[in-house]
Amino acid sequence: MDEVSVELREVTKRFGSVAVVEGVSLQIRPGEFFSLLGPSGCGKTTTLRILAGFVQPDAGEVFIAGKRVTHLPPNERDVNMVFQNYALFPHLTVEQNVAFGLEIQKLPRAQIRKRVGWALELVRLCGLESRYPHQLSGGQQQRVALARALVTQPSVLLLDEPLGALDLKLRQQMQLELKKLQRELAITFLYVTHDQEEALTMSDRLAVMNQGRVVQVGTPQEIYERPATRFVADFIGESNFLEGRVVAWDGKKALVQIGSLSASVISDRPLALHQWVTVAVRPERLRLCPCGRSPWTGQVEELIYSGKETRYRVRVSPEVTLLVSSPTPNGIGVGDRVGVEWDEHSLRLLDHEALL
Amino acid sequence: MKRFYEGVSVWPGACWLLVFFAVPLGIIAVISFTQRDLAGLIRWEFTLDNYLRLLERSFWVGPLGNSVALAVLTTVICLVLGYPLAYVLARSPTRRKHLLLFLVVLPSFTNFLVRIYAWFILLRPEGWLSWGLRLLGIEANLFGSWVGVLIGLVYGYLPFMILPLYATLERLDYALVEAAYDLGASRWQVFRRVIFPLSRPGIVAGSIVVFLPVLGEFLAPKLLGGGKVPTIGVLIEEKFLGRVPDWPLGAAIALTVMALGLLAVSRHFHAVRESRWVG
Amino acid sequence: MKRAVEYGVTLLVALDVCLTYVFLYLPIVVLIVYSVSASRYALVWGGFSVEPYEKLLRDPEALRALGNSLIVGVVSAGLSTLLGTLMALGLERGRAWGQRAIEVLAYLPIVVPEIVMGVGLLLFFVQVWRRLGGDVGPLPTVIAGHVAFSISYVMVVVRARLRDLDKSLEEAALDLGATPAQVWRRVTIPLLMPAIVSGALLVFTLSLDDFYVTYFSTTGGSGFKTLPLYLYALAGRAGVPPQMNAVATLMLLASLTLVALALIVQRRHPSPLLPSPSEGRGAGGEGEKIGYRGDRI
Repeated sequence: MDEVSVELREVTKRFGSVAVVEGVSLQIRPGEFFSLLGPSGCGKTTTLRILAGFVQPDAGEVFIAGKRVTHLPPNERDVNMVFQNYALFPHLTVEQNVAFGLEIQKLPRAQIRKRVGWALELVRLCGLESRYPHQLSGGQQQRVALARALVTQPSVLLLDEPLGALDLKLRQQMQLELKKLQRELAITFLYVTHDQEEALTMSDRLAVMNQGRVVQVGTPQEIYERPATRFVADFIGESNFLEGRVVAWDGKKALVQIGSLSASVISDRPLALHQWVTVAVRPERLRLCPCGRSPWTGQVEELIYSGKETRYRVRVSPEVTLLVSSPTPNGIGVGDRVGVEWDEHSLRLLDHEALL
Repeated sequence: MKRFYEGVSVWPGACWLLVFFAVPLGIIAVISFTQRDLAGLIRWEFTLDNYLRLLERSFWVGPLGNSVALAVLTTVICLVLGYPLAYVLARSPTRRKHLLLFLVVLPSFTNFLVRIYAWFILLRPEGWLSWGLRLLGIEANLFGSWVGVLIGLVYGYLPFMILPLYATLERLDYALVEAAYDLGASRWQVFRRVIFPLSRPGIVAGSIVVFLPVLGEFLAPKLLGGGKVPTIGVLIEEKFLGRVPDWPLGAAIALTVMALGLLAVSRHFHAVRESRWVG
Repeated sequence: MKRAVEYGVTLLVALDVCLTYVFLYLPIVVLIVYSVSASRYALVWGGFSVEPYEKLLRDPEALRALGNSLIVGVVSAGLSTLLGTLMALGLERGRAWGQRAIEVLAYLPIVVPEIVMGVGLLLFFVQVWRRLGGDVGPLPTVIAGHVAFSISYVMVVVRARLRDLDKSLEEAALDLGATPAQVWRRVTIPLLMPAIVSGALLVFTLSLDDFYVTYFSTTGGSGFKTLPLYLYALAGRAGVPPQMNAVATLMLLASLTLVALALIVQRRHPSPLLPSPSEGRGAGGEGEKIGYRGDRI
């Protein structure tokens, strides 16, 4: 059994009658880059704050490196947090900010100076020691916050949407830097974000949360390729959702009737005849082909150009339109008749449920 | 964190306030129901006499009427004079704003008595104002008159009206004004429908800060009124420290002033507190 | 026609602004001018002279009044700043028993007319204090009264600043291992310092200025005088002595200095007492820099 760095067991937190976090259980391995992903209000930040010790859960337990810390105050936990708004002390210089945790631990002066130097070099901010936070750019402030949290070498680092205020280019650059840093230091990172691309890029594993619950946990590939619920399939990336009934199933493949069309879906889940199911397929897994090559044929209703790719909305039947994504320009325009084809493995079967 | 503060630190200050503020007020209330002894001090017999005397016409029309009238007029004049200034200040470019604001604030931080005293000089028959008026052909002695007191009061309290007005107007989001213009409103309509309503918290705050103290004013009426402008404040001083003291009556008057003031303001007390962050 | 009206209004407004500034400063100018006039009466111009100031400095009563004012000011400012700051911290961050009531109590002195407070203190000291423990003398009496009305002002100033303080700063300090006491000492108090200093300067000025509370609680006739009381006594004398202008001018200059000091403090560290002009719409000016998050690449 792997060692567990951080564990949450059935953690629940209510504000009034609303359960902000409900029955959350997670096991995070040491040295893992783990993300909490979900829309605003899903409880991911509250979960993080419960871990940090700023919020007391109503039920459940929190363990850090095997030690039960559920009711321990934040200053006694071996966990450091990088705040969303950086929370740099405005009355202290960069050096004093970073040294703060070390001074609290009463380390000798010389050692503090050495470690601060090490931390600032890690985040590539040497030379700015005597500046004050308001004299720095957003990106620089973010790195000071990071250095301050890392200098005490905690076993777990919590990051609360740290890149949200940066523009796209800077954000992408910081994502790579953070990932590299984490691998170098081999510290467990717990990263909260609502940006799925960010989570997929950086994480070793991630948990998708919605309305206070953990909906799915897995590697980025697992989450993206095999979403467990309609919510995950919809929140991560894009999906076409088709409602249909099972007309045949041989244990490995199912035939689903979607309106006047039918599709063959690989599924090893037990199914019953005439059961309603949802078929999910991502736009980039669909291909446009000449008419006639596929029974799924129709007219292009809409064309959305976004540089990297072009998306086509094709009406293949009176009730069904498919969103198809194509990276290469192919001269197809609105009004043209095209066919849509795919690989068998591209389709995914989900329980027919109301969107969670 | 909460464990540490737990509100314990409130108690020293609260106790001080209780002893030296709340208790004295309580004592005023108690003494207002006693009777005057031969020396004008207290005879411990309880009666409603003092309050009944307040219902007499000579009190109503005289000091109370003067005080209320002065308070209302001062507030209104300060508002009319101060609003345009506060507005101009709020809309000034940043650099000038600092300087102009400083200039407005400065007099209010100098001693109130000194400022009243300055008008004492100006209003006297030998003073500049009478000299100026004589040039215009008006033979008037403003010293010892109602108008003189009013001038002094407006002078003293104007900055206190301007500051809250400025604070509110300064926070006004000019985009709202632009939106109103964009929708076709004239300058007057923009003022009436957008600027004025949004500045209401400031108006209320400023009015309270002027009205209440003026009610209890005694320096301006005494110094500038030369004895001819009795107000509640002057009356209270007479009853406690004058030649013919009457402490119980004085206490009753003081309590009435306070009650009047709090009543006039009670509805807006919340507004004063909220106005600080609604702006 | 509408244009004419608009121009008229603009002109009126401009006029109002100019006249108001003149109105505010004319008496002060007059005061200063007359303070250097050589004349037996304060109201008549008699040629340039520093005689009034000489007369003033030779008057022992004046010097005593100055001393009293300073002692009362410093002591009451110190005490009320301490108590007021503690109150602000307790009310804002703690959950004290009876919090609502204490809040009302703390805001009352700002709303109650000063004369009522003065009268109350007079009655209190004569009726209660003397009966309980004998005479304490005017100095502690006056100080007690000054502290009573000052606490509220300090509390309001500090509390407003406390409210604006970014809570995540204190959380960050805790997160980095500081005990609550260390958080207070290393983060909260340093960040509150400008407001505390502002508050102290404010109540010091209020104390120097105070007339009503001092006048009534010393029963007006006793020998104890602060500067405002001294000035008032002079004004009461028939044949107004010229020292008055000198006193008034000096007090003016002292206030000027204090205000300048306070504004300097405020410029460097914006305090919520004096409204600081905001740079940009509604975002608040330099005060917002606490926990500032910007993108100045």
